Amino acid sequence: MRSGIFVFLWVAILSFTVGCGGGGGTAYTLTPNTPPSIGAPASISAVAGSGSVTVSWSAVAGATSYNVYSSLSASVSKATGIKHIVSGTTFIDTGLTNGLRYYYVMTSVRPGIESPDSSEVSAVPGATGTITGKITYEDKELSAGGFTGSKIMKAVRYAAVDVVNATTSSILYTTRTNSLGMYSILTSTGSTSVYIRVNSEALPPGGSQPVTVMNLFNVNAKYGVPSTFVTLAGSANVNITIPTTNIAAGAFNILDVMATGFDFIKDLSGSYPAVPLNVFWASENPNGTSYCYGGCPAGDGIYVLSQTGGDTDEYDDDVLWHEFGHFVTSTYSLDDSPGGIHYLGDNEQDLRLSWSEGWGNFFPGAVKTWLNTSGQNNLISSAPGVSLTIYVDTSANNGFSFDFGNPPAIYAQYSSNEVAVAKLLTDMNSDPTLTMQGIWNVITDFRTIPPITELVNLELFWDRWLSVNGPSVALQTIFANRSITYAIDGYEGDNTMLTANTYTAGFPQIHTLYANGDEDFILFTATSSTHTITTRNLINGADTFLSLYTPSQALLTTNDNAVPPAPNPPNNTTALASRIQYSSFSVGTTYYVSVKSSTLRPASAGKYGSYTLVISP
Amino acid sequence: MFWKIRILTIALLLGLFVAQDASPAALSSKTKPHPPVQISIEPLQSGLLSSNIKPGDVVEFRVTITSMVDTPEMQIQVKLDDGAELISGELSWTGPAMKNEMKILPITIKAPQKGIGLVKAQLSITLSSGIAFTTSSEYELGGTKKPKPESARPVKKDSKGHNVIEYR
Repeated sequence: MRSGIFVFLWVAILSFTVGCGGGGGTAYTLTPNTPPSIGAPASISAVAGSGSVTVSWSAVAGATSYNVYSSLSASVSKATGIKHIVSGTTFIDTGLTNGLRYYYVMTSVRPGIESPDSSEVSAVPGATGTITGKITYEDKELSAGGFTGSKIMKAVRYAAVDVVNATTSSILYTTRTNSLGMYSILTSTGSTSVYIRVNSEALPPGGSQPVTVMNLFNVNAKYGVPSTFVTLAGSANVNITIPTTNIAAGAFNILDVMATGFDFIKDLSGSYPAVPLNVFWASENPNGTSYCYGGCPAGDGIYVLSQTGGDTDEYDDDVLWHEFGHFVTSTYSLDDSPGGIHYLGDNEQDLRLSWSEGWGNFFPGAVKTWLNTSGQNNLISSAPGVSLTIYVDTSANNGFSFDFGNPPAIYAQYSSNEVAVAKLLTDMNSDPTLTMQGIWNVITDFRTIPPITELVNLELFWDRWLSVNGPSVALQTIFANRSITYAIDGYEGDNTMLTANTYTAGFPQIHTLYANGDEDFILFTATSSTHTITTRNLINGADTFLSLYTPSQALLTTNDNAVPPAPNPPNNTTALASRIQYSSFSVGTTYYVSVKSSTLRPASAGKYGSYTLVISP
Repeated sequence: MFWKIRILTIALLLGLFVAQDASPAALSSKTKPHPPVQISIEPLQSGLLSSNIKPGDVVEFRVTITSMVDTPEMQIQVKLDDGAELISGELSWTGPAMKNEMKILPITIKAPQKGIGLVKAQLSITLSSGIAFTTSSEYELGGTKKPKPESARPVKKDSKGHNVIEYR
């Protein structure tokens, strides 16, 4: 809906432009009769070094070069100063005498035109100094019951740090914090008043693309937290602490959670993400939380909800890592999920959705488990003793927590259930023969060449696991514990009429559609002229197609769906079931029934799954 | 001028239709998981705003609960705080629920003579192994406390020329 509003506004703006400029439909060209001109540079700064002064300014549209005029006397102008021709927007004046004040003005130049003089700046060259410091933010501790009320101080890691001229707001120096939140900048000394500012953009060492938290209500604006003013007069230590009472602390927690995600990916893949990640958040943002790409209101990225007195997610690390998990599959794997609202414990989900969200549910526990095993427990916000697989979504009025490592059985079964998918991935992660790296290798294999043509769901994960790693008893057991059976059933090989199993009246047969292309043949003897043949109890995404053959193996009739299903129906036990009612059976004669996966199955269903065959008079 | 208005009107209408057409695209976004229980509290009288409820008013409410999964036991507990007084109705219910089954608790409440009363309903799905999911909803009698909007702050630039909003 937000994208709709966005389009709406653009169309409205476009129409207004047409209305203003279109007039009666005639285009006019205005010919200026004033001489061409160019503006003087602005946002100028002069920063002293030892024996040098660095002068910087903002680029001027249309300028091809700039002239810098320097002097040891104030009120320098193009008429009195020494001229230096510069092509960029920085000039370093070297060979100067420490302790003397140097004055500068500059002009913009394009062929045949020079602007008026800029305002004057000056600096006194002197010795260099170093500004060091640590930047921390206050995080909120979490337990299964929500926030505990305790606060945790954490380092602001990998974040952009600027030294800002307090008078002009120009950036004099820039660096990044390290993994401990420490920074160090070599500066010149002088009388310039500056402040240190940390910005909500993180780029780990060795990374190529940053994660940036942007203000959703001021798109393209990062969050910045400034220090108090200091004077560049030798070395200084400037720390910044961001308490939770500062709105921006939420942005820096989001940044830290995402930075941890980047570290986790580096550990798994060997390198940091090669694509940037933008997170859009603002206090009182009523929309989200979600991962969005393609046609999103402010661009691709993660959108984070925050409504005081309602649901706020900026300190809900598990919610943030859930969405980061979607970023991961979008970047390194494939994701066919239709998205939308989804409920934990729902056993009837679209297989594409249950895979995508199951992965998202698994991801926070995987990150925390990795932090725990790699000795980085200080980055986990959970209170001591809280299971690493507990997912916490705080809210003033509808928060909840759920342990994906220990879910109630009835809410964690079948491939059409995101809890089941999360649980089996969690179990795989803790199995030394399967491991997180094993999972990673398979989900990234989804991007194999040539591209796969199958839908992305748990079935694909299973198939690619076999392709990459081969069969695994441990894996089969973990899936079976979730009532997911990707294995041949006890009636195999019943793939031909010659090898068909005999149906005994009153004894329904439970079959599995596995492996791909499996077709089950059943032999039955008619006991009356009318029989009804049905598939029931469809689970794990099964969509059956039923056929009835004569004793001479000629096709009598078929049925795909007993009831025409809605598009992409829920994977419940009946929506995609099949039913044949035939009234011309010859009593005492043997007929053949076959069941296979429907070739017309919806994208929400799977090629595998189980069903119960019932033949009744 | 007429043409400008007409073009703008057509564009606005077009925008409206585009906005409606675009809404399914939002479904492609990957949202966070929700507990399989939903609850809402609303006055029976349609259009009655919380801010219009005066001290001492007697108001009929409907607490609506929906389970998104089959559950052997669902528990609903309604609490009245800050002086709100029950006139009639049941404040709790326990029983099984089928997927998508809706339960409605009608209750009549008298707003407190002073201050803003609070109706708070909590809904849990309980299994023999313990509580599986919990969610809750609140309704304030006599107006809601609106958060203060963030005040405007100057936009500055970082070293790459990108916008930065400073939070001191």
